[in-house]
Amino acid sequence: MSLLIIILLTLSQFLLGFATLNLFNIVIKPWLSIALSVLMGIAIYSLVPFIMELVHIRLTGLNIFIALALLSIVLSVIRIKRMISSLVSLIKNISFRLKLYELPFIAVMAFMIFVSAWRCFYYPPTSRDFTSGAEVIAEYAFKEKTMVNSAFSVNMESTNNQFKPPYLTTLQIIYKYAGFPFGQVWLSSVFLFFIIFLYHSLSTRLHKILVGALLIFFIAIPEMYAYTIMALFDYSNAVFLFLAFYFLFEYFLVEQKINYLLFSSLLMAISVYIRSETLVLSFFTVLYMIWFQYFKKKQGLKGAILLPGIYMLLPVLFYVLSITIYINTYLPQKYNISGQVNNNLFDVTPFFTRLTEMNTKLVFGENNTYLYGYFFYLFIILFLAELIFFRGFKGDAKKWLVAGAIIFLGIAFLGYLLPLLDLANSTKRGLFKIFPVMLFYFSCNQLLIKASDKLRALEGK
Amino acid sequence: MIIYRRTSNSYKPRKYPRAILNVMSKKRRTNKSRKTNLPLKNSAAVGSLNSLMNNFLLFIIALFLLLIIISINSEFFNGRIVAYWDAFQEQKSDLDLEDRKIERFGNSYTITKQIADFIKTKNKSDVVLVPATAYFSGNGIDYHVPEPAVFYYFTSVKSIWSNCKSGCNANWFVHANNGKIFIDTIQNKAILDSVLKVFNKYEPAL
Repeated sequence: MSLLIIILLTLSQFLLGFATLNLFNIVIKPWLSIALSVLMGIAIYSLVPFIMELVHIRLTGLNIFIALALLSIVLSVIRIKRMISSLVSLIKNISFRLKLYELPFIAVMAFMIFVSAWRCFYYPPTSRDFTSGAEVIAEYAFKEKTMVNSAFSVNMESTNNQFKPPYLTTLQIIYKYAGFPFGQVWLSSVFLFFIIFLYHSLSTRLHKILVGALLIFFIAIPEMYAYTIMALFDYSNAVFLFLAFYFLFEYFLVEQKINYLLFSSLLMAISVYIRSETLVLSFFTVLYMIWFQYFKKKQGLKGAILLPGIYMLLPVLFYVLSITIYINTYLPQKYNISGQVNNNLFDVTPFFTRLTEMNTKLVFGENNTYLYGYFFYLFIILFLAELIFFRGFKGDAKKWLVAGAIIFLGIAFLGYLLPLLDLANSTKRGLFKIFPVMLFYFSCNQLLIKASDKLRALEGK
Repeated sequence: MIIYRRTSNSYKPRKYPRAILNVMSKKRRTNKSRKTNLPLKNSAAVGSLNSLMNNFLLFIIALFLLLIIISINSEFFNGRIVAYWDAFQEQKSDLDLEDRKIERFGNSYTITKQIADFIKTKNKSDVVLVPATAYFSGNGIDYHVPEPAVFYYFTSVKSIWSNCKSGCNANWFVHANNGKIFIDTIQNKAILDSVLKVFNKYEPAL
């Protein structure tokens, strides 16, 4: 029964996401389209109860599922003809054929995903950041039909987790209504469809043997894998930030269509909605865009600022909705967010201290393989190999390296800007965002591309 | 016209007169025709056999690579994947929600539930003052005290910690003696203050 409900919810999320992709006229390969649609659908699932709460509609199960159904219909109807033809073409072009050599990797990945999904389903939410904030609010929203509920009447001096954006809370509410008392299984959908997206997008550049190998390294990052079992903000945040970069670079390198840029902006906005600090990273991304438009594309100052300016609108809007309106004015308890900001910004020592600590205590620390497996080492080896043997990087590789730098320096900057973001928790989990970006740098690494060519030649392609 | 002829180490350009080229192309043609003279079925079979062999070779490469990756990450695979799979074998037959909570949260959940069950028999809206984890450890009890928000999540009963700063009213307090837990009423402010004086010797920890 639970499995059937999960399938129905996934189908509904696919329809919602597919309609959104269709609105933005995003044309991608069938499996990429399916994976992206479900991920998008999950994000929209989270937004619906949040908007309902803001306009004071009671969060009953019936109200929420009617709202979701109505939204699916509205989004589909806007461009119904294109939606139907896209669906038909998706069904026609989708392939389920697997090569013999793909099987070992896919079997191991499927096993790893299954084990994670089972634990995610079986155990209640565990992370303290979750149970003392989003989960307790969701549990009583489920009972009292509003997110402003008796959870706020409890003494909450020991936590500030009630003042986090409502992404987790709303998803938990929906899944509790769907018959999962611990909620949380949406995380397995995020995990599964993200891996599908990565597998098929990496396969467009590298041979599938290499893609399988890289993805096993990626899934086997112990700390990141743990957060595919325990729901929290960081895994989803990493997924949507990566997708935002993916479509931004598609815009820069391949498509040059404004709809790809706007879609990337929407994905960036979702990652800001999941973790509000991501706004700082999106600001750094925009600075890079301005530099790129001005110096590389020679667009002049006005042209260089215009597009990045448009790009920032949605992330800022989502920040205003989830923080300025929801937390600062809607919730019954008050939270002084500006009080969390470093009040001595002229002293930049904390930035360098955090940067050093990230290297000495996390990336190369005593327990580094326990936290991040061998992924950083893999990156360093491939990075140095490309630098030594090819004496430089290709344009697309440079883009992913810049994205990695934005994340790494951005996380250190966040530690300096908001001292509450500690190294042992926030920064440690914040680094999840860098791994998919590194994975895509690997897909542009000339050494791996050469190895792919050899494997393809062996295959007779 | 420059023809590139393969030597043992490198390609070297070499000029041929047109006549020789014609002869060569004839030779190539005859070679080609010789090849195509093979029965069609056989050539297709050879092609598919080669393709099968290559695919099998790639399969072996994939297996080899996979084994290397698993051995590099052996700590992760043994400590997580294999261990979680073993746990799954037992868990799949025990789907009781309470058991799953107890397994995950341990004493933190079971003792909290016992305290809350007692309070609920009196008055559900009552608030209970719970000392720090260190207090229980000092009294030989393994009980990680959940913070008030989590206490409420577990039980629907409100609690406060001894270090609370505002709205610190409680009707009950939990204390320990000889490894046992007791719950008593707080009848007035004087009792609350005296209890807090004892409890505040222990710093609550998350």
